[in-house]
Amino acid sequence: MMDDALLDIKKLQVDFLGVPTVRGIDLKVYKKETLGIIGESGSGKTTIARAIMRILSEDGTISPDSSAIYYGLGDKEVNMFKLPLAEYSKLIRWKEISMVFQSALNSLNPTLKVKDHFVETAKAHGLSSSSKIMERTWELLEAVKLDPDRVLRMFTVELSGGMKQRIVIALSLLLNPKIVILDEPTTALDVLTQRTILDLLKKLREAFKLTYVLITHDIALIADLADRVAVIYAGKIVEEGNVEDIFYNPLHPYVKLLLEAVPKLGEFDKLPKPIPGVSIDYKNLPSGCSFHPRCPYASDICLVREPPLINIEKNRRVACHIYTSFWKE
Amino acid sequence: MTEPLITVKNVSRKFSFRKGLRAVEFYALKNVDLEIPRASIIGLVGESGSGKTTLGKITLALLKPTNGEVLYEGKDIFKLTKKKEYRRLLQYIPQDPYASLNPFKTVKQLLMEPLLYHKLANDKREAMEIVRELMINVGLTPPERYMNLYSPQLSGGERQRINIARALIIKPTYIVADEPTTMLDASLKSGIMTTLRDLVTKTNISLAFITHEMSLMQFFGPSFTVAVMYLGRIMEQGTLKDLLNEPLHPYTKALIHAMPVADPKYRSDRGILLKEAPPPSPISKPPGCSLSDRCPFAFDLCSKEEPILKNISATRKAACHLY
Repeated sequence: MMDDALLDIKKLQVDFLGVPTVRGIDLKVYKKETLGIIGESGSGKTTIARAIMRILSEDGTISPDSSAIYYGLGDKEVNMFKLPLAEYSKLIRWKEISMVFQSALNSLNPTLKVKDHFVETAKAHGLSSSSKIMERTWELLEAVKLDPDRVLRMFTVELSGGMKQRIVIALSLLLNPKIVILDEPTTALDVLTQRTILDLLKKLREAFKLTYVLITHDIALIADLADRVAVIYAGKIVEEGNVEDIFYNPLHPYVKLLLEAVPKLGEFDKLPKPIPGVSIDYKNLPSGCSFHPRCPYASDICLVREPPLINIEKNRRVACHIYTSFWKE
Repeated sequence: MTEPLITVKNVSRKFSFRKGLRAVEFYALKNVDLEIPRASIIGLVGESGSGKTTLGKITLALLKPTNGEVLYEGKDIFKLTKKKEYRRLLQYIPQDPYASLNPFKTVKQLLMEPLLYHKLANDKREAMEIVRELMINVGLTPPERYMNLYSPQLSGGERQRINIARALIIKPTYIVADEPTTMLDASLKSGIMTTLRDLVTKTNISLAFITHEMSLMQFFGPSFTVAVMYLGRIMEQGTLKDLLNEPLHPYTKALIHAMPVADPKYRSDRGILLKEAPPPSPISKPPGCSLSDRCPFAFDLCSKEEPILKNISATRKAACHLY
């Protein structure tokens, strides 16, 4: 299965007003997998997504060394960061890679009917045949379990949170993309609605053979949906591996602490523990490993040298000096 | 039996809004009974529209019930003469730390003002001492680092700690915390929850904790009372452990079944244990039991008669015709 990569990101660095917030990310997305990217707010996870979609705000720039090779266009390999923007939006955006935005509940236009959202999106990406657009829209709305006849004529303010989320998911699939980036797809929803959306995402993944990049700070969501997980801290990957490895045998101290900070349903003997220390400030990043001020295992080397992301086993990477040769010196 | 600190007796609250020329009325809360003992924690769980925030606000005398009464140590809170004193004893921790602090005031001002207003300190120096001690207790250390900052200079977690400090500083007996961690990250959440738990148990305060995340309440331990609410009614009440291990009410069962678990072992296409129906809304409740349109166990009686909250055991209550 390996080397069935659909997207290969290398050395991704994003600066905001000169301050790097994504600091060199190497990440592969494989065909038909769900890659979970987890990190606290400010860790740079949404920035990675926005860089891939090339919708960073004006303050943000992708550094010239970064590359993101997309393999989904037949034999052609394209570096998405090097494509001219017009070309990118013609070839890639929404057609190959689409995104379900965070706070989807606010990302619909209240003055437009649901139907117009689909028509506008399709037309903006070059589809012109109205009958084809409606056919696809109909199919998608049924796939997300909405009644097309009723919903298409409604304004988005008439919809409940769960319905809006379904509309936004349907919209992301409109042009039949291969990769869908899900940025916190269930945060603003109630427990029962959350569960229906999760089940729906799983069904769609099967039905449309989708690859998901799931961005969230919710560990339970990752446990439920992801195949592989990349944990981000201060704009870098600190650990990456299969979901079982990450959950049952975490290596990086941050990942260990993160898992201990989350209550497990029905488990009372072990109380969750907060992670000590304060969160990331990019303007004053600590020297060496950026996690060292909060790390219970930090030693001298951690203060001076930044640990590289190394392969521990097949499909398992970790960036921590405990696992490098410097540790014992 | 000792008298509970707060007694909610048969409280209903009606709201209305205009739709065209018509006024539409609905009950956000219907015939709710609840007792909150001294120095205890009670969890109010429910989806949006379940009335959990309305109930919290009514116990704080921020909203008046349409029917029923709320007693504080046996006295009706809406007939009290010493309003100011009662206000001091009841405090609120809001949901959104980004919207609830005055951005033009420093941390010092935010924390000293309530002290001086309620005359809990003789002079500024004494107030300063109290503020400093409390800041250390809520994890804002060293206090000097934060004293002169304005709230926009603080992170979400730090702001929420200020909100907790503000609620605690005037020595209340009862606090309502309305989803105080929803806006925060997993690691910050557990910090705030631990702080809240330690402060509440140390100071003998009663806490009503409003949330839709049941797993969050595990921070308080297995044996405190949780009330599960649905469309303005308490459906089931019991200790957290009993509810999680053996939920009785079909709604509680569905809620617990749907909850995401931070363990890949439990992943499956779990689905929802309730029948598909339009999302619950207090404006269009079905007749009889408000869950009757979604409940897979519903029988004739359920759509005719609304079940009352009955004692199942000493610590357990449920409102369901099955029991």
